[in-house]
Amino acid sequence: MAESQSLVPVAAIVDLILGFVTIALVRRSGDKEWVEKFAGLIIGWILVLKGLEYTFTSVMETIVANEGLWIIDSSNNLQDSFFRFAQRTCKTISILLLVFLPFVYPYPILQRKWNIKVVTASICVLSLILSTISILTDYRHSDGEWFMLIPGMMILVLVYIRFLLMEIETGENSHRRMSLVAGLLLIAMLGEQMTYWLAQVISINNDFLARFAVEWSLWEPSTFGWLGTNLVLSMGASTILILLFFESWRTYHMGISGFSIIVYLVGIVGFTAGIVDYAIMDIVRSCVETECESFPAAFEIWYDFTSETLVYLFTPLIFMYILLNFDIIDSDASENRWLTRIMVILMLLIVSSSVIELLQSFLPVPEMISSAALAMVVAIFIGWEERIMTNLMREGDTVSQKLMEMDELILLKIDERDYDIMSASMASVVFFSLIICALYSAVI
Amino acid sequence: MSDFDGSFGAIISNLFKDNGTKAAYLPCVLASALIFSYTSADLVLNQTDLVDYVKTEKNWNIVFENNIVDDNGDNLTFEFDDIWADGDVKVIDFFLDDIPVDDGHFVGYIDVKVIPEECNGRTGSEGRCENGIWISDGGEWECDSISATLLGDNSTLTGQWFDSGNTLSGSDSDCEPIYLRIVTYPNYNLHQSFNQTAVNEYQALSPWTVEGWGDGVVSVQINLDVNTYGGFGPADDSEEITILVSVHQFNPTASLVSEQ
Repeated sequence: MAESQSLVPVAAIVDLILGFVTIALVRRSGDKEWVEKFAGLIIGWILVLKGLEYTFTSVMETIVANEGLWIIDSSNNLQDSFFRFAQRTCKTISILLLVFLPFVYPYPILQRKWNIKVVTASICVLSLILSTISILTDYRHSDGEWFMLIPGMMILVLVYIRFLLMEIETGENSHRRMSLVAGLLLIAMLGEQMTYWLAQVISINNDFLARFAVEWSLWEPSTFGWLGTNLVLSMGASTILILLFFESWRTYHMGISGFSIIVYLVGIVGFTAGIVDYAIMDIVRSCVETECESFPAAFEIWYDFTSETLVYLFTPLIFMYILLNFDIIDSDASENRWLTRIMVILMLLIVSSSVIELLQSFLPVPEMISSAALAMVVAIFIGWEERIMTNLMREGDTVSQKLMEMDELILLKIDERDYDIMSASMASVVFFSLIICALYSAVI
Repeated sequence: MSDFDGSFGAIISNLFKDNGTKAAYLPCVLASALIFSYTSADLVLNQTDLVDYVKTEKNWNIVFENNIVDDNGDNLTFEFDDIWADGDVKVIDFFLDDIPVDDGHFVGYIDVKVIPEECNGRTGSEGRCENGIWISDGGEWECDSISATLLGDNSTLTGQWFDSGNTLSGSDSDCEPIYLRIVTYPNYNLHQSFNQTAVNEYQALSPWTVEGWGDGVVSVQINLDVNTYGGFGPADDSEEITILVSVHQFNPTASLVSEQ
């Protein structure tokens, strides 16, 4: 058996590759509508920022020789470290991008010529302000950033419900495109929190939060920070319950779909996790009542295979699916085709090999067998490359086409330079935010 | 010609155009708000103060209640009595795994008292010792030479063999008892109280609640050299020796002194 490994470095590589390729492909997709180009850029930058965040997390894990997302810094190496500041700063900027994405995609709430300028400026200004305030207040209020996600989540849920009901009412399949994108974005944004839905509904997540606040020296939230964490957990719980309810209703009327199965899987994972969490409450509360006891190995494995895998491996795949299946990037253009194919095969291979490694960490599988399994996966991906690509781009229609059919989208003539200015601004704000982190960690 | 102008009002109006959407959306928002409300109330009212309390270091005073492990009321854990011949070297084992240590108690130290036949303070013994001669109504005897050792090498006894409070060996030829002691619990000192800094009572007590100390076998080696006195007493070629073993247990309790 191999030693259990952290998924964070893999996630960093996957997100960075996918992010930069997405930004490059969006720049080459000149004929796309402004909705797709703008959304593609935001998604690309979200992936880049997540990749940077995970890179800094990996460095921190190496420093404290600890695995997993949550770091126990018993020797106090990270309290004033650049890597801690940089990781939180990248997280803040990626949250801001997530906040604005639902205003643009799939149903643009902002349909004005100035929208790219205003959104870019808002993200840049808020990034600098929030990351500076967070550093100065030792990240006590940082989790309150999740409150900004409320409008975006409300928009996505509204779009999902509206178009799902329209599909059931009219029987028109094209409505599914909108509800599917909204649903996938909800899972991409809140997938981890969705796997804790039962624990949140019966309010035992609070015991976990209390434990983590005691156990992790780097997490000392204020009341506002506590509420922010609770908010994102509540949003995850309520959105998966909404998705479960409406997907069941849709399945009853229209038959089951691949997305329904994904929603049911996440729901079942959350239900099982809730029961498992309840079973280990004595261990969870030990940190507060007595002294911290370690979680059982089986619990750790379960967590690795559900929440962690969903966050680190499947979230970038969901974004990739949205980019390709809803034609955000022009994957048919001859100059984009090879890059798209490389990206898809690379993503699938990295994720497959990571899952095989994860399996090897607790199953007594000899390395020869796992190498053979990986070779089989490679052969399947190469042999079925055409079919995989065709399936990924099956929808073929953009959401803007659907909205134009419904006469609910204004075709704005946005200057192409605005997109480049957005990318340049994002790169600049990331650079300057990291400079602030470096300076602050050097002077304190 | 399209009526849609891309204004915010028109967009919101489009999203809520269908009555079904309004009817389905409102309960979803209310349910989400409900989940957030009661979990937040639980978090703020029950957890945040608790976490603040747990994360604050406090001063605790640790005191110990001490007594002897004793199942028959004689204030002894083991008693062994035997007659030794001159030159005997014997090892007597006392098995601690079977003794009834009370719940919440831990073995702090073990006292061993070796009492020769003619001895000051022996129950029923009347006489006095002068210059190594035991003088009583029945005659005069020279005190025997006895040495006693708590065997540490290859011992299964889990204890603090290098503690400064130990007395691992002793000898006597003045008709006095020999006292031995082995401290079993780390840093345990009788009748002392400690000040400890910890976040809660459990952690304050945790250094004093470690299981496993004081298990195994106490082995006492006795060497006897019978001295025969040429006085008025009968010839003395053997010795009755009594070994008393007291296993001392303690129960630690912590009381809060102040919050730092």
